[in-house]
Amino acid sequence: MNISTIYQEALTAQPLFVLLLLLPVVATIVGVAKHVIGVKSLGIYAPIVLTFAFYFLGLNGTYGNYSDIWTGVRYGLIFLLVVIVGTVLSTRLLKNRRMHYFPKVSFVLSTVSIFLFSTMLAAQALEKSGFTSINAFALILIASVAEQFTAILFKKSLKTALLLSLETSLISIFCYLLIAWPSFQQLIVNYPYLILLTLVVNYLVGKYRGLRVRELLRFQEILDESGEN
Amino acid sequence: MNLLRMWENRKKVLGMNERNLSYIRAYNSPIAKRFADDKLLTKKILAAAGIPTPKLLGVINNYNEVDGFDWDTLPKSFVIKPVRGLEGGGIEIFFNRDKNGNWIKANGSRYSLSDLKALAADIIDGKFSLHNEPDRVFFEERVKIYKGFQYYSYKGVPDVRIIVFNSIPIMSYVRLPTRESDGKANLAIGAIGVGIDITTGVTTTAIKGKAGKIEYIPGTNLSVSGLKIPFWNRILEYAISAQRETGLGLVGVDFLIDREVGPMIVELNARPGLSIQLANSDGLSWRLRKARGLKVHSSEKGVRLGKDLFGGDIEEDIERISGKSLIGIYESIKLFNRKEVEQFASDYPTHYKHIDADASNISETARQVKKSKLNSTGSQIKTKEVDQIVKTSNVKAKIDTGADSTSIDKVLWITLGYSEIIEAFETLKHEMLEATNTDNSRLALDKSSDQLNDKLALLYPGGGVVCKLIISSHGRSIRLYMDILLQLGNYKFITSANVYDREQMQYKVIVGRKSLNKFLVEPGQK
Repeated sequence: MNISTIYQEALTAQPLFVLLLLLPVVATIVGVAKHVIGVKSLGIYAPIVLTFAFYFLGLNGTYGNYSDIWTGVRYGLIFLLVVIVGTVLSTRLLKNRRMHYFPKVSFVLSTVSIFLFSTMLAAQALEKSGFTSINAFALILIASVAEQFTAILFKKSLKTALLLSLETSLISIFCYLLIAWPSFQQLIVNYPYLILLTLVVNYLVGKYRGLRVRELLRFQEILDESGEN
Repeated sequence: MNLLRMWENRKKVLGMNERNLSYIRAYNSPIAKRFADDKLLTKKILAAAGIPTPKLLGVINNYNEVDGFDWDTLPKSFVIKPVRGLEGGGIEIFFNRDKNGNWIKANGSRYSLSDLKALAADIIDGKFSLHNEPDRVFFEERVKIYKGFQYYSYKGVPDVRIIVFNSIPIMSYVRLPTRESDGKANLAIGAIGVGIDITTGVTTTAIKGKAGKIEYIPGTNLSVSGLKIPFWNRILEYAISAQRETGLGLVGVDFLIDREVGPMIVELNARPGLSIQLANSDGLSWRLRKARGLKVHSSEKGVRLGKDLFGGDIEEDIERISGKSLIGIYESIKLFNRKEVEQFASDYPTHYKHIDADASNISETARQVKKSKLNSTGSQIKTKEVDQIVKTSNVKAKIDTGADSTSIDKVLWITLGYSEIIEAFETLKHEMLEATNTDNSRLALDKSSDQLNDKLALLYPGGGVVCKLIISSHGRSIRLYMDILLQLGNYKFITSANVYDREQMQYKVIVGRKSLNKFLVEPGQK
């Protein structure tokens, strides 16, 4: 048995293994977005987790790896909104209480879970059929975003936290569109060695000292000046 | 937007990537960063180096000490800060204490003792520190706003930042608190950032918040440019010393300027922000590259290099290169009392003293400038009518390179204590002219003037009192010349000036060529 046969068989037995190959792609995109474009996200973990949460929410069991984009994005954003509302409300509640950090975050995560669970119950009551096939694992992924969100809320402001969440959602949607694209998945499946390229890209981005696209805009006035120096 | 030009200029501006990799990672060691992040440690290091910082009033290290702390030892007005706070979080400034013992903030809100204890506990909890690490609390005296800044700042105190790299001041700005920023000098919440020219310490361009150019302080007609930061050279030297003492490569040194004490360092920032570039309309990257690799052995050298490399103002360059002070054609000058001449001449045998712009600034604010009480009654004024002999007199003078010598109004001379000589001269002159039957011929006048000079030399053997025959379009006359001490531009010096009745003229003082050895006159400058 040669290596390519093993590879073929592994993927046939567990089609979602391909996600492990897609993870480096997503992580690399998040890195490029930050250092080359200047997207500000809720850390590197949140956009990756959110991307895969979208993916799982869009999965339709009957078609293997196929993730329905409309379903994924729609449910993903609905649950993210529930998580954000839950986080904001519970942090408000704890705002001026002196507590240890871990129990504080656990308190927030518990509230968020209760909110998510209530959403599911409400959907059930309203007989929304789409909610019945929701992947619980995806919900746990989305709920975990609350930690980073809470940290920003405590440190900075609601406005900053919301802006960062917005940019995180945008970058996650972009990554999700890419990894859910069947042709792209096929490309990675056919040429798994391509993944090694992400190492090169990450190394190069890690050494990049130039201006970010966002900084080009921010400092446009200075850059667009004629003269020496 | 010219994309090509932007591409060519791309290396001018410092971005996050370059700042982090090329400067912070490369030059700021973890230990040095820890010094800068710990405000108490910073204070200790700076104090050891003789650099002023606001006075420390107390420290609370942990929960147990919160209740044990003697809160009543705090003065009415103080500042509470976290030792390792970020971006100004947890800092509260109190201006006064009311009858019930509550402390009052700038916005009028009050803090009771239990509010203050709660804030201290939050700080200890790590609410304002990186990664929520446990922190400590300290109290500092409140810095009182420098008088010249009062109209530029809303409630709080302006904060001057100098970016120093490799012992060279690279760029600077002052942050002015506004109503939106609630009296805090924080751009993120709407304070104003005003760029400062490194050479002169005078403000240039400004932004409000994180972006958005402004020309006037909102709600006023005060221009953001042209404000002179006091103690500028001292600020630059302290900033460089602070960088050298902490071992940080790149650092943002933050100063507050106290009304009485002068500049004090409040904070060192090992990760200085990038907005300073917008305030100055210039990039940091090219400046940092220029400063890299230079050998700088002292802070004086660093100041000089910073001024030479990054100053935008040509005027002081001229002054330093030529040793001459640049003045316009209308200048405010200061005349000194007759008694000062002799003292000055013995202190400064060259009869010239260079005055540092900073020094004159300090003395100006420190002492009330006495104004001469001149009630102008024209040429009829008699010596006795000048009721007060003044020590100094500030007047607006015309700088006239077409005139040979300096001419000062008779009344001014009298108020400065020269009346005795003037009276003596006029008596002598009157006698002389009577003797010659008011012969107005050149020959006769020449002779009279010589004789007068002989008599004056006898009366005033110290010299400095002479007369000369002046021939002008107004006719011939003998005029009295005396030595006077005056201050113009960056010099205080003794010069010979004539006595003339300038009552009807717009300028009471004309400064002529002979008094302008140390000056360059810029005709376009007023």
